Amino acid sequence: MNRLAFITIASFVLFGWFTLCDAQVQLVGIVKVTQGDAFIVRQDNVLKAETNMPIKAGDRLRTGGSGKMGLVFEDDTVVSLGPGSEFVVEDFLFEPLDNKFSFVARLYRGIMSFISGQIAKLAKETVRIETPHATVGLRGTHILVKVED
Amino acid sequence: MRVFAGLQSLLICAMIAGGCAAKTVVVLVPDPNGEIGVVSVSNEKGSVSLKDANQATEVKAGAVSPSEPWILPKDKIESLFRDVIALQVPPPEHFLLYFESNSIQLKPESKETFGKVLDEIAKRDSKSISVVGHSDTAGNKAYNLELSRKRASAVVNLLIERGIASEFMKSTSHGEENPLVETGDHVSEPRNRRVEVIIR
Repeated sequence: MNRLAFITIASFVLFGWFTLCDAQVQLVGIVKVTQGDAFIVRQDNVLKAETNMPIKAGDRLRTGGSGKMGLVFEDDTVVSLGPGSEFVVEDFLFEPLDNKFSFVARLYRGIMSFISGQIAKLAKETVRIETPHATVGLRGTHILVKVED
Repeated sequence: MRVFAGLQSLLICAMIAGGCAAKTVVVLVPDPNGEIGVVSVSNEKGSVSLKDANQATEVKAGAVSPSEPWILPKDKIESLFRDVIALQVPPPEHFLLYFESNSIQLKPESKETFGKVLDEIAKRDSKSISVVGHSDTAGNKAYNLELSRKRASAVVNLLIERGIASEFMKSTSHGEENPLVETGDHVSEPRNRRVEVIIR
């Protein structure tokens, strides 16, 4: 119980700290739509996802049993997550001027609609979605994925 | 934590007679423009390609390759993916603003477009706006990079004047590197003298 109280307090302290630090970390996209339970797990902090909240590489996006989330990325990729989903943006690089591109994400469970954007257009074979059972290489544009565990 | 979750699912698997139904299903569907892309689905046992509308493959946990692709009927897609299909996520909106030659002055017709930019920002309460400056190839590269940077910051300033917070904007400049219309070097091309505004 004491441990739980400590974790609770620590998360509040850290939450404030990360909010302050937001401006320094490069964002890869934003949350554009949420319904029901939808969260961003950043390091060990669980943030309730809200419209226009920034997403960073490494963020774990999680929805509850009735939750949904719509994400829009810097390169125009649009991702919708259905209930009971867990999705992580592992690597995102969109620097057209330097010709640097990467989009690697992992869907641990749940259902997802993925509409690729500029990265898939400009750098073929760079958009990759991993699931516990398969590697999905997307050259464009719209796929639906369901992971049952 | 993760080890615990792993053990837990292992236990659940062990409890269910006949093993787990763990699997991934991937379906290629037409995008909002009606276009069909290409996707490869692979595991350590093999790889398949999906190229046709509503083509699907299933990858089961364990030592089997992805299934031969088949066409998943529309009603089946609808029932499997209802939740994500129904979620309306507005795709980013792109606008192009054009400039006078060797200038950070907007062309008259782009002043009208600028009004549309403001409307769209308001409509979707956008807090993520990219402003990307470009130039044509007249003049040298370094000069053009600077010119495109000035164009982008001119647009950022116009948006700030109209009450858009600077923290919601990200401005970059591409100089002459990403022309809308390919030309040779040292070519004056009005369509390349532009700033792209992306509203999310």
